Amino acid sequence: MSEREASSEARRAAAMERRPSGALLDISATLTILERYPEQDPGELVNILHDLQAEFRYLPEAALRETAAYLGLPRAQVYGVATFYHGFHIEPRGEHTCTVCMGTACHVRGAPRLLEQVERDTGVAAGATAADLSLNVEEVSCVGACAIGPLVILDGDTHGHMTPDNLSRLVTKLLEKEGPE
Amino acid sequence: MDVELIIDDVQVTAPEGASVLDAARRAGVDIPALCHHEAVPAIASCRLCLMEVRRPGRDWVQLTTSCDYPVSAGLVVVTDSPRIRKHRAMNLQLLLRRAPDAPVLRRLAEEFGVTKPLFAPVTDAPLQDCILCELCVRVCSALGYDALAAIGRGEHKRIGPPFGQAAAEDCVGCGSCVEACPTDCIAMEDTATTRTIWGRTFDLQACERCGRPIATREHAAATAAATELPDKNDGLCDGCKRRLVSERLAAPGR
Amino acid sequence: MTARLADPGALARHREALAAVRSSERSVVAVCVGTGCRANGAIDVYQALRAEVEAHGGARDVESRATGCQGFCQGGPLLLLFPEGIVYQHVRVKDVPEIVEKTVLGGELVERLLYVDPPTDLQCRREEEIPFYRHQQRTLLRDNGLLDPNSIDDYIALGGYSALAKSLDMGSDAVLEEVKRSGLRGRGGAGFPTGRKWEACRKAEGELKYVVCNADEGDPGAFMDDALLEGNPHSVLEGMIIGAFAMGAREGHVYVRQEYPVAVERITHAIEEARALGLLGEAILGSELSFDLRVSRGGGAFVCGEASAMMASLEGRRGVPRRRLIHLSDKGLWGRPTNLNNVETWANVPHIALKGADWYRSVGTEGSAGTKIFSLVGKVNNTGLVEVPMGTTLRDIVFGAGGGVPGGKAFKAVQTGGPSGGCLPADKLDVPVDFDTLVAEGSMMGSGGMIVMDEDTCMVDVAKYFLRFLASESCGNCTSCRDGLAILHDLLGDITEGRGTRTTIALVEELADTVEATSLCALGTSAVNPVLSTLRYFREEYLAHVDDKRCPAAVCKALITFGIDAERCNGCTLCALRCPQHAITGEKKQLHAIDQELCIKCGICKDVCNRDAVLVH
Repeated sequence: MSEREASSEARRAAAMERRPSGALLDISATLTILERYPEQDPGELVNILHDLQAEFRYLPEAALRETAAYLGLPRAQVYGVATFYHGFHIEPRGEHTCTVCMGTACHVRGAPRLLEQVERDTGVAAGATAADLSLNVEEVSCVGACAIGPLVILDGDTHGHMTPDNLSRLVTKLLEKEGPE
Repeated sequence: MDVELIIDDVQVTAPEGASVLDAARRAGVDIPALCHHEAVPAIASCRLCLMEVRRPGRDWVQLTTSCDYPVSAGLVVVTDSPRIRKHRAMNLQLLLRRAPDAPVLRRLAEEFGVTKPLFAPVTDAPLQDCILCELCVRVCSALGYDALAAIGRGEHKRIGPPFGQAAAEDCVGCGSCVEACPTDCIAMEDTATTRTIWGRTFDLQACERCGRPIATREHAAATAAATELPDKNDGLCDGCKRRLVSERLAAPGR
Repeated sequence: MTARLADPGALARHREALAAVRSSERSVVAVCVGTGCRANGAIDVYQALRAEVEAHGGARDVESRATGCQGFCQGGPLLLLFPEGIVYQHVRVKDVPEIVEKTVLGGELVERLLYVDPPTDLQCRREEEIPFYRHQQRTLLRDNGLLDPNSIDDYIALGGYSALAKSLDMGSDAVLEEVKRSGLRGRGGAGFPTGRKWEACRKAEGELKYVVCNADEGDPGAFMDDALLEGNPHSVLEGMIIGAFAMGAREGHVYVRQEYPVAVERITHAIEEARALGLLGEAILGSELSFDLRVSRGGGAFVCGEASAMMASLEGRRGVPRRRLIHLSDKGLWGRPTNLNNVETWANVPHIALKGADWYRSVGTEGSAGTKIFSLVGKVNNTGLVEVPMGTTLRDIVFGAGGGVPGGKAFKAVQTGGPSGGCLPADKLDVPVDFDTLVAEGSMMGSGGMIVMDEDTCMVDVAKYFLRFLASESCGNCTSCRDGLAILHDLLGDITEGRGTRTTIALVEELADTVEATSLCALGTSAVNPVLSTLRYFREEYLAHVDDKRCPAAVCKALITFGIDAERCNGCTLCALRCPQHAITGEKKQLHAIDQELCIKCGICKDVCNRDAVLVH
């Protein structure tokens, strides 16, 4: 076994030991992601958080702890960074996502009404996740497709020239489908 | 290397690297500042320590904070002016909104003519009276414990242990954050034998001579580890240590 | 697989070899798959095109190409045919077989897909005939329609990296001099003279220096940097390599906001391609220049567009700006000399290196040389990216390239400079746009966002919108910004909801003054521009809200009522069926009525009514 493999094994063993009891998190997946990056390099923190979130759909506590250990950073700093940026979520997320663009151009074309419609229909406010984890409602400021505004993104598919009425129908359909991977 | 600058028409000498705020205070000019502590880096959060400064060779004056402005040769600083007072008063209004009862804020409000609050007080903040100055976070980090985090951003920024823990796992109960906090908003409860802070209850080591609490076990252990000396408290509080030394000095045969 | 290019000669030979293969006889059919067109189904169109061309068994030398954003977003999905330069708009998958058969192979036009110029009703066949393009000077965006952004060979074939070769030949001193003389000013917002910034970094003490590309593009409504990164990533890369050469930098970062995953992909791929050819890495083109780049993603914070906050982010910290008494060119990233420039600024550099400062200065104004890409959006007919020489008037941009305001509505204002900028009214339309003129009028260039507003836009609502955005993006360090902006937003809420008085306005002005005067960074200090500029130019609108509790533009919900026009309503019951609150009653074929107690002003009834019978007062 190479030196690198040996230290990776040791790292995994240590991580499993200190994993919070009851955590269903796959420590192995976390370490696989971390090991793509150099140890003790704080500059990669945000990139790592992106990769972790792509894996787990949010940032579980155990993953953040392992990241702090790997990078040699205080846990308070890692947590402070994870909560500073709106792209990161520290709570489990819903299966489907409805993102309403609230950029200026979309705002001027009536985007707030779309957000209100979704909230009315689903009871989920912007930035929140449905209690049954079926849906996240998000707002974002400008995705760069202003010509077709106001627009919404439903599970990665962009729909332009949206009206509250159409949105209502589309969200209903969305919730009936299987979620994305 | 010392630096010469002018503060309120008075020539002042200050060490290189000092902030204008520190230089002013040492020269007896009191610029109010809440989020400042000499031992930790300045973040200029409270926005009260305003000054008007002109750099040598320039003819324009800048209104800016003094805690994070290093002294340099030939700076001309004014610490009091209508413009400073006006903006300081407004920032005091904003701070009072978060900490309406903090004595230091009330004193400053009186001093700078803020009589009526302009804004309804915040009552739903996670930590009442916290002005988000992060002094506690900076002090805790400087001491090497990093038990506290600045969480979130903007209006909803808050201070607390990471991961939303009810009990701060890295805290050693030293109480430095409490001492540093300008608005006294951090709750710390001491009994004869325990200390409760940030959701944790620590055992307090008691002085072997007088029985008063000295430090938490964790704090003593951390200090010993950091200094690589055995527990330097020797089981005695500072008062008793001094008394012991005096007794030894006064003992017959010396 | 091309080998590493050992020197400028090898690059030139590679270019010649590409030209030989790509004969001018060849047809290229380009489909724009930029963000806007992609959202409109352009990828399906491109796939259909490829399939169709293949099905015709390559009877003629035809290449299908997926290209980056060409700026004419209103006409998307766009399809262009070269070398003729024919432009088809609103192309659907079902149009593709006809296009291939009739136009590509048969040389005939499919007329219904041509752009028709509204005032003249003339069909436009080529880009130069379309007014949207005629009013532009597309120095930076021109190649977006020509090249496949995933192909470094396309870029080289069009002349790419010849600017780098020339720069290496000129020497770093001469390159720096050229950029200084060109008068190029930062395109990210502040408009700082780029040459001066570069010189400061070059002169700074320190062996390891960094160059950074700011691709955070946080201004809502601005997407020109996205178009450049997605559509022509090598143009940005080449600029950075030239800059690294001029400044003596060895490492660099491209910091892309996380909301732009395609841009991240494209620039990452471009960097890999450049490395493979030896245009990044050790001894670039055989010179003493060794330079390499990393792509870093943002986490979702507008404030990280501020240079020092971006560096904090790159260092694994919260994106809190710091005071800059010591310039970042002396102590920036990791305490080392760092030069940060915006995407568009970097994209200008190869042009300046290749064609010279005199050429660059020949376009634009005395104080602002060159062209600028504006993202023209909102209540405008031709929404998209417009590249014009500095000094072009607002009128020319909005009514010339932009084609004016749709639906016959009256122009009301144009917001420039994003959340840091201001709103300019109709009597400012003849202002020639450059860095200094806009500031003089109470706004600023910013990154180039231009939001057009019409008579149905409430300027108080606009000011409130920007305050909400900025309050949510404040890093939270400064009392003045963090709490001041939140309160300003609340106060504007009071005004839009009918609780405001003259005192409210006075308090807004007083508080805004302190936020501007005492915040640490430009987010805070410029956050008050939208509210102050609207108070300056549209004060009567504010006064209507506070004195008369009236919203002249009929936007602010608390101040408007929805009603049904007795003359127009035909009792079709559509509105009643769709109303989410069941607030509309009426018999079939009878006049309907809206119950004001239940009405939540959502506007759905107005949307669905075919007879324009819903009135808003």
